Amino acid sequence: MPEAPDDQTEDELAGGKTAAVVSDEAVALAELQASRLRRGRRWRLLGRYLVLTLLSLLVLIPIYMTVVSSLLIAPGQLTRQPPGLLPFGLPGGWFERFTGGPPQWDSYSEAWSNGNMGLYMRNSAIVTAIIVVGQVITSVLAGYAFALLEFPLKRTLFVVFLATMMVPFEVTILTNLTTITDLGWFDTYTGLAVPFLATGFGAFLLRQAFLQIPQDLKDAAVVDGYGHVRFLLRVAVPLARPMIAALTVFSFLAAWNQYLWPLLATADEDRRTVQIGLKFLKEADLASINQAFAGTVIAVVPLLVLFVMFQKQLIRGLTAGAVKG
Amino acid sequence: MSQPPDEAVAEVPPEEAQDEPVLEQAGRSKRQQRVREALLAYAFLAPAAVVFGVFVFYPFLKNFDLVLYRANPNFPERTTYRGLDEPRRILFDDVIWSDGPWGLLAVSALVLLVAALVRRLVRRPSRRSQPWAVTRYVLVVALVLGAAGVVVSLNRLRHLMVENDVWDSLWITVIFTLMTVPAGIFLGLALAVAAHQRLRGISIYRTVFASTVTTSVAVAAVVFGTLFNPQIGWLPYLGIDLARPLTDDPTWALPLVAFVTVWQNMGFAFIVMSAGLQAVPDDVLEAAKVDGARAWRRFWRITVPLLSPTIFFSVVVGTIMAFQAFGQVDILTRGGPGRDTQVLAYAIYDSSLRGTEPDPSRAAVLSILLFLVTLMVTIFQTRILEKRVHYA
Repeated sequence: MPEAPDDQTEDELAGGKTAAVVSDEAVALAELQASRLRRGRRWRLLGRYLVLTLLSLLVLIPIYMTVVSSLLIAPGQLTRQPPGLLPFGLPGGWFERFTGGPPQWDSYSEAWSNGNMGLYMRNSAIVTAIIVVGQVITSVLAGYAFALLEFPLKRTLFVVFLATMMVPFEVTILTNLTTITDLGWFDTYTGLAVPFLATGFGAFLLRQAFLQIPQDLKDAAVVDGYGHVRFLLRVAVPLARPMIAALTVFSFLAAWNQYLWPLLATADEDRRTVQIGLKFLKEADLASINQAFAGTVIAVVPLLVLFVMFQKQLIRGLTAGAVKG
Repeated sequence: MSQPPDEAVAEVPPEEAQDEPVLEQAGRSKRQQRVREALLAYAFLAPAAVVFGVFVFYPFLKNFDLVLYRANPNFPERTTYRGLDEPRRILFDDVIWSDGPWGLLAVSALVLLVAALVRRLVRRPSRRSQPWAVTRYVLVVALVLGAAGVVVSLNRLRHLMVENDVWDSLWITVIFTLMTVPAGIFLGLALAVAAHQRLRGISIYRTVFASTVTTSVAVAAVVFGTLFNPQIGWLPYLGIDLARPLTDDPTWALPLVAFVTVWQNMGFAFIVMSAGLQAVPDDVLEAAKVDGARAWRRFWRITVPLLSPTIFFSVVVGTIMAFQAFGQVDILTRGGPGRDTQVLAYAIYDSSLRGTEPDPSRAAVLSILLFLVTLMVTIFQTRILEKRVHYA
């Protein structure tokens, strides 16, 4: 019955409107298949979102449990063992086991004052600031030297700078501890920050960035009679801003999350950083464990905020060595 | 006095103009300019160089000094050369299980296995060893080794092999690495692939996946250490009631630490794999799709080989980072129970002056060992893996 082929050919030859003459049955069949495809596609879409959500639960559940636990354990005593899954009450019966209680915001103020998290945050902030500023400055200087200056032993020195990344930090702790102590820097901000004021990784990053400066800019600088210092400050640094931002975020993250060195270089509570503070909060007795949970949340929130704001820069910093081409 | 600018530029031979913008004034001689530039360079490098010298190279070298010289406790300034006796004692006493041949057998089997795996990888590539075959080999080996690491850890088979502290730590660290690195890569790859789709709201998922990069080892260890605590944790919700915390259980302590490590590294693994995935050109995949290749096949034959640089980078960086793992051990288990989670980095800390068993010689030996392992892994990467990587 369908006269499709002949008609179509005629229409094509005519070059005119393609009134596709197809039978009603074919149309109905096509529509059925299309709707099946649409429904199938919707199911597949749902499946994909489901997989994504399940995967994100891996990350979200521990965070959720931490936040909820920080709110559910009353300071000073364990009202429930275990504390419950929800920050509010639920009708009895089967739901009873998931009930928490009213949220105990005291955990946070307690962690801040009694748990000393406020002090630790201040210490971490100061030390991290010193380290980040130091690393950025030394990396910019070193990167500029390797990228835009000529001097004897340049290649050797560059290899030496890179080699510092080969030496695991633990290999240096024995002697660094003695050095810091002998210099009187034990339990001080100086002792916490100075060993990390320079980084081979940063020098590498900035060298890459400065190498990208186009030749005509350099020629123009020659013509304008720029000295190196002026060129660095007026031209090179502004051009390398994305890389500097990436290094800043990366250094901040690394410095804030440091564990081994703050553990070694401080014994007194006064200079303890957030990460070590968390360790001591956890090792305190079980009755004040809410402070540990609250402290964890306090410790992570600034980084999470920074992360959401500067995701792009951070990713650029992290992947600088990873992907080739 | 000074020549006009264009003449100064003309004076500079082209090669020099390439790597040094002669930005100095034209009045001085070229030699003077070079000296000034070199001095400037040294001045720029000086701060970093001082930090590196004092806090990286000097401590590294001092380890050898600590090993070879004994300090007299009464006169700390005077040290006597004692040769290699101490390191020999530390390294070679009680190495293999003295109670029977099983230890020797196990160690030999292990050495042969590793040799076979490496030899397969090192063999000159025939025309048939294609990038996807090599990448697939690496991934399969990683999977098998990872599973082996888990099994060995759970069965505590390491007691079969070594009794010496140093090699025990090394062995534990190797098992720990086997448990964390393959899992991290597969997880990162899975997350990256899942988040690579063009869906609405995918950026939210990407942010969530990457967010563990903001957690530190301390945060992750405190979170999971307390959540797995039988009294206040979430295990009762899963129907598990434990007599003692997992961290005190010789079988589960190391897997727990490994799990925490993998979780904490998930964000970083995702970011790295994602970046690698984005570098895979779409047109190749489109062409394959047009040619009728199905999704799975497209993935293994095209995407994964093109991801091989990223995968190999992850293996190397993951291994190096696993060998330096410290924080999570300190918070979760403190090396225990017994010595069951005494990874290399923790052993170094424990032997340092602020640990529980100070022993500078042992610490120095462990430090040198750690450095050698890191060096070997890097050499392995540059010499062997790099040649097998398929660069698009």
